[in-house]
Amino acid sequence: MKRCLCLLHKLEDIFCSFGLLVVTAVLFVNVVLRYFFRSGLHWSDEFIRYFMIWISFIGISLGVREDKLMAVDLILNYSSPGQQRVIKFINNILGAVFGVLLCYYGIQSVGTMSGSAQVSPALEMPMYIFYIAIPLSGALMTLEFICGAIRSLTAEHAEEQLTKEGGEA
Amino acid sequence: GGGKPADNGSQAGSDKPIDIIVSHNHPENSPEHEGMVAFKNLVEEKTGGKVNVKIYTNLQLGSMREQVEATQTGTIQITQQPTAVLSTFVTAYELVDFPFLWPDAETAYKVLDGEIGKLISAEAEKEGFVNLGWMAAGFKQFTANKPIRSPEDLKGMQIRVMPAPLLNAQMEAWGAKPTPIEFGELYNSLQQGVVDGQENPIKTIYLNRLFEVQKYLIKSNHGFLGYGIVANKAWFDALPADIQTAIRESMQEACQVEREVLSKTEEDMLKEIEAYGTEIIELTPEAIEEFRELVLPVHDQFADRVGRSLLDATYAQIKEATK
Amino acid sequence: MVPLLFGSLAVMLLGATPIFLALGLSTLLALIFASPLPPAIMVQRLFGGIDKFALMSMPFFILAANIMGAGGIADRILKWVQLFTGRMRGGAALTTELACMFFGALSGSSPATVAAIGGIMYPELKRDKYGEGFSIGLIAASGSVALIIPPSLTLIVYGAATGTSVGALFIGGIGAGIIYGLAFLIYCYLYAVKHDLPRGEKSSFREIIQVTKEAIWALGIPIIILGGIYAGVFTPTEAAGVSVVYAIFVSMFIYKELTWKQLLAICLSSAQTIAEVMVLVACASAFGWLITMGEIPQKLASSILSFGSSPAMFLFIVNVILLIAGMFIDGTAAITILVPLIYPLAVKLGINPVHLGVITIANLAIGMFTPPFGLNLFVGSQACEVSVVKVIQGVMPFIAISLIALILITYIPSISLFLPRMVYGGV
Ligand code: NA
Ligand code: NA
Repeated sequence: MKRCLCLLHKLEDIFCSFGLLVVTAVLFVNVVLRYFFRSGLHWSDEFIRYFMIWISFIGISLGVREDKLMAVDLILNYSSPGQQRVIKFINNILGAVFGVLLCYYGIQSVGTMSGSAQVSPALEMPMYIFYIAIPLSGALMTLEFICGAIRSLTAEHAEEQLTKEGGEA
Repeated sequence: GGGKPADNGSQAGSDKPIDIIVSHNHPENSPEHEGMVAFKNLVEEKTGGKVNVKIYTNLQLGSMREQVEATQTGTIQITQQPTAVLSTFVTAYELVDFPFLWPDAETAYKVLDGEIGKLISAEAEKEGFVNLGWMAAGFKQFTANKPIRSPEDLKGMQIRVMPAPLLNAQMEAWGAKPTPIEFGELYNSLQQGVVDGQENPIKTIYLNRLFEVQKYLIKSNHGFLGYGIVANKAWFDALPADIQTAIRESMQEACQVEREVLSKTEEDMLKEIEAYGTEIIELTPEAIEEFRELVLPVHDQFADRVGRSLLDATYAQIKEATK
Repeated sequence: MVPLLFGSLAVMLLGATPIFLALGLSTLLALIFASPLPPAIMVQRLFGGIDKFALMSMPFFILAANIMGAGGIADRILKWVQLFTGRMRGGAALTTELACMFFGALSGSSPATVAAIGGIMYPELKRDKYGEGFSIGLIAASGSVALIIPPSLTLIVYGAATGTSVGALFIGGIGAGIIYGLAFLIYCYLYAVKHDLPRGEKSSFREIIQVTKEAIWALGIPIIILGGIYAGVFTPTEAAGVSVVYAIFVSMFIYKELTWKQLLAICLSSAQTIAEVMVLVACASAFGWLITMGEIPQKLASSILSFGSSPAMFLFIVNVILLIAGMFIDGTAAITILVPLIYPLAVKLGINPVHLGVITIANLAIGMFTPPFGLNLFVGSQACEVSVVKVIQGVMPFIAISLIALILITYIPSISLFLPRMVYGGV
């Protein structure tokens, strides 16, 4: 289980980091082609946009994984450690709910769209392929938020044990 | 709250008016908007208040592509979109964008309102759309900072086009370099010289103030920018027959309104553009013929995408109409 | 729909739910429980919210800033800048302000400005003992008001929506931009005096030569970005990508301070930042779409606008509406939704369209760094690793100053109209 998760994280990391280099390269090559060779890749804009959208939706679970998401933590900072754990647990559950809904409606949308002949204007690829990023993001997000929820529970145990041990010593 | 826009297909018996969400891409001072307002007024009047049309302008509900998609899935009931956008859903629409296909707007309207329009509509129905009518933004013209008087002048120039294979092929046939630039970045790109020129109808050039950053407007009339007005088919089919008829008839009338407003405003716009100091270049018939001949192979190249029989039928209808 | 949407959003925001999640989940809940629209539309709106080429400059500038920071470019630029600002009181702040204004004006993207300049100048400000809040506030605010300085995408959208000359609008924006710039510069200077920030040593001629020599490759970055856009070699979005390539090249092959492994690590951490900001934009856009669909901004605006009977009162109300709209929806969307309501009334009251345009853009620019949803707050928080709450506290004085500048721009039309009248005659 843990090994699977590690492998998944590795894949996400590789996709996002190499992905950024790839989109940068395409953007750069297009500028060079236009400025020096007066030609261009007519699909570059579209490729960059859709790839960046994929990086964004896959990459969001990186932030969930490391518990590094932006939040208004004003009230949180004034709460007791116990309250903080409860709040964190609830927020992780909310995240998992959002992930499940995103995955569900995402699959539904992709399903509907795969019945459509719609293609992207420049790459002429079926449009639903690009939308797969969203249900996939939902699934990955759910996984990470559940891990986060578990962490907020187990962290509680760990901390309690720590204080107990500290008290005995 | 948000009103009750969507679930109305099956409420034929109830007294509640049927809400219709209509969307387009243009500001309120545009012929396109006037056309859709005409539709709203006509259909509300004809049905005696049984329908309630709400128009969302200016890409408020999403990009062009997204609006078509939302119409296909039924969030939007009717949308007015360029055929170049519709063609990514239903390839047959690409026909309308063939360069130098239509001799003039009258012929284009006549042919599209007739058999050819029905053929395209039949293709659209396979994808879940009903094509209710045809409007237009007019013929596309070039603008540039260098004069273009023949294909020779265009050679090597970087011309911004929408990213579509047909439009690329057309520019390449004239020896120009098609360059994709986002519409939002177009004004600045023309001003700063990232590209040498662009193609759009007079109306678009005027409303988006592109003439402010271009020395020449070349009246090439090289392509027709038409709109298909499409409705969600499942929704439309579930409407009571009398409402369906009212919608169809109102849209037909609305199309006439839009076309008239367009042709009237085009002249005024062109005058204002000229008054601003942008030079208007009229092409000689010989030059136009040169442009046309160079680009005809593109028709052949793209014939299979739209259907060769559809293209041949269109040629025949155009011939018929211009007799 | 309204109580559920705004209620659940407020509860989640206060409850420290990640901001993207609070926006996304409240929108989705409203779609499921309080709207006849199919909830699956959420998928399209999330996708569509970031399917915009104009948004793409921000991710590239985030990446470029991170590479410059790790590859020794940022350090050298900073040292070079210090040569000239070190002697001045508040020099670092003034430099940041001018850099943001210049960069924001040309790149046309205020979050991109925060990412690019923030990444470089924030460490410098902190080292010079400027407060965390002041530094981040300065960065978040300066870049956005530069949007009114041409070229400005938002002014083009306004021009298209109202038929006003974009050329006149562009020139009109210069005056307003200068007012903002001056207001911020004065505040920076007063801040430095009040906090008695130390002046640096005077640098010798020899030092100047030495530091400049070392920084020569690093200084290529601003030259490439600004020169490239200005000379029409590339668009602002492309400039961002080109600066990434240049930064990689200089860091790896000239300064040799960056390895492939480090580069990949920077890409990964940048991707995390980019993803969070982009998904946040996607969720905010879905939220904005839902309230547009429910015609909430339109209804609010038209009911409040009816109170403005004199031009002065009307402009005051317009400012209030646009400031509030700017807090929740993106600038381009605000223009397409609200300007059609405001413009005809303004014309009737004899307000100049160019003046109204400048006021509109000024408001929306301020909206970029006002809580709760100013994108700059989030990009700033990410790029400088400062908590959102701190960033919000930090921008407050800058919001106050911007409002003073806004009042001047609103009630002294000549600020916006002096230059266009000179160039175009009767505007
Ligand atoms: Na600008
Ligand atoms: Na805001």
